[in-house]
Amino acid sequence: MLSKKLQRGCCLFSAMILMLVGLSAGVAQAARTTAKQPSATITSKAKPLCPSSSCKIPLPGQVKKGIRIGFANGGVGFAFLNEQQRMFTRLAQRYGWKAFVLNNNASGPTAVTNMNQFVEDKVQYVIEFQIDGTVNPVLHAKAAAAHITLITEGIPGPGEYFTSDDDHATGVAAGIKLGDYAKANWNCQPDLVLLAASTPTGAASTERVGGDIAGVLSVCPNIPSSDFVQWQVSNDTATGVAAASDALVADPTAKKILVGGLNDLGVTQAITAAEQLGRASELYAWGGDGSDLGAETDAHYAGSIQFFLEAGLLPAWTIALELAAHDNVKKGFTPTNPTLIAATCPMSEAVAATIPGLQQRGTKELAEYPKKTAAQLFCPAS
Amino acid sequence: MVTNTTHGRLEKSRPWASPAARTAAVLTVIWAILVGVTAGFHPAFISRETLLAIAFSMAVIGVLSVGEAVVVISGGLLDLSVPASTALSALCTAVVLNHFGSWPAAIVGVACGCAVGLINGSLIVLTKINPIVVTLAVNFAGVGILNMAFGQEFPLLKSGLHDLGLNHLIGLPDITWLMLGVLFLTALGLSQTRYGRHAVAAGGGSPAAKRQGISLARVRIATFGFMGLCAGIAGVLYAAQSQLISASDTSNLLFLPITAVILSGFSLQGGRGSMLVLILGIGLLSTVPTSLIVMGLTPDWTQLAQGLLLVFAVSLDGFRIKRRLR
Repeated sequence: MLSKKLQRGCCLFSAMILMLVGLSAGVAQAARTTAKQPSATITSKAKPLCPSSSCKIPLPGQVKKGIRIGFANGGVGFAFLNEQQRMFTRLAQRYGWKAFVLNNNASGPTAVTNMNQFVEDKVQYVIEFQIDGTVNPVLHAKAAAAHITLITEGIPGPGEYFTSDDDHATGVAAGIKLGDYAKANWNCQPDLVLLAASTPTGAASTERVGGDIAGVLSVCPNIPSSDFVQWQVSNDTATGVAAASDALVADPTAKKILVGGLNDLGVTQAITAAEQLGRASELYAWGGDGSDLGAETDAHYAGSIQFFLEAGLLPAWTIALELAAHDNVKKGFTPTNPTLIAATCPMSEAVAATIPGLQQRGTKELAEYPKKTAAQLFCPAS
Repeated sequence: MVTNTTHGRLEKSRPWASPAARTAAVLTVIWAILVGVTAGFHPAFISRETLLAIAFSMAVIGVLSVGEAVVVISGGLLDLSVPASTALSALCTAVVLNHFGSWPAAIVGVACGCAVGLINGSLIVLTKINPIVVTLAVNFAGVGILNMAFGQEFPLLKSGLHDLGLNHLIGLPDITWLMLGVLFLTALGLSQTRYGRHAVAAGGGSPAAKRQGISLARVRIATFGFMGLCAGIAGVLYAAQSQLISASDTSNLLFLPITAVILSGFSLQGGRGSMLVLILGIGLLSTVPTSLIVMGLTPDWTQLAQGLLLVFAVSLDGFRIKRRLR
């Protein structure tokens, strides 16, 4: 009996020791990580937006009809995904192509199952919008074996045609807005720059958040690296707000707070956390993807980078059209060198209120495609 | 107030030596060590702001833990439909809020959660299938239906409900007071009402409860209905803190309430557990992420620590069951 108790005690003691060792290692690692100076250089090598003078997108009648094309949508629950799907089916009708639509439901395994279905449906092109990088090689291999041309919208894979926004430039644009505010109001001396990040999102998060830092530093170069704090955004509001609260608690004296990062979801979660803790009086926020623009979410949310998320499908469709018209389309499969890049647009809440809502924009963008892009239609600067 | 029981009988003698008291002592010590270590790294950790941050994160998890605790103590194993029922409540709250205001929204939200709970209870009683299987199926089906029905995220307009999600009262967030109210009323209900005693007795041993004339079917429907009520309240509190809600938002809300309940000494065999100790479990779990972030660790470490706590709690429960059977 005693020996069993002794064994159990030893096990528990070992587990506690392991936890303490792990914790110490983590603290040490965190200390090393926070000591790093954020990159202030703009590394993006973005291709120019198509259509341009050198880029002729085929019109209906200029490409053959009857092409079988699949669209694996990212998931459900977001209006822009529904709008992308609507655009896909409408464009297929316009060009006389046969459309196959499946939904990845934000799940890698579902994306693989869907690819099997596309193979069975004998499609020629697949526009793949999914968020799980681990299954991308599987998707790529299945598509290659079935001679399906893969055009990725979310996560790129080697040898593919990839369309993206310029995440780094987007971050830089948001960072400049934050920096401008800090310069005008706080003499470039914010106490804290709180940035929403998401490790599972991979390069999109690191590029956009890195861009934020670079943008802020391009206006206010003397902000110390220790003032830039990243926290993990979550789709679950309770978890996300709690994580942002924890980041604020870790810096209890900060009053002049800039908020930015990957997406508007994270930015609004940080604002809520600051309001809950009574620390939002001197907070200025600029969103990351424009998803909350026009929703009048909060007075502290000054604006965002309008992604025209509803139009995310259009560049992928453009690639498919060009491939159908001619084979010499350059493959581009890194976030900084995609085949085709979509333009984004810094937009204040006031400006956002003057442009049409997502569905109306989608209708207008479809009507003007391929002559004009969403940014050309709705971004005041373009 | 304390529903500290052994196979349905209230343990009145030597309360300090009861399993609940021992669990409370262990949790208090672990919590104190965690706070002490964190304060050692970062002295500013001991502040009103830390208390607020932890208290805010306790609210939704706390209400769900209370419902889960009642299911566990009544021998209903676990309710795994929490993400779906909470999402339904939050989405219904959002839809009604934007048209009719805060009070109707809160009532509809709670009623929606309650409805899911009653469906769970009825299915379990009618089909006699394991509650874990039934509630898991309801969760999958529920999330699917919600995705089809709501399709997209819902913005929440500024309202009295939104203020509830931000404001404080006597040093604690309003929503945390609500959670504490639910917890204390439940503790009172379990120990002082006929239904509460029946639920605990049913969890302590089904054959004995049947011999006493307790209808297990009624107890099952009532306990899962109560879990639904708690999910409804949690959904309303969730909506109070949110600016946009979609059906898939609440998927993270399953793990923590179960961990809190098991960590607080509620036996998965039913019949045992204390609502007052549950406060410690919820508090400890909510402190872990704040502590680790303040120490400069990434959220991955939080998941690791909470996972280890669950393993520790389940092992402890297994050890207690074995010891009781000896």
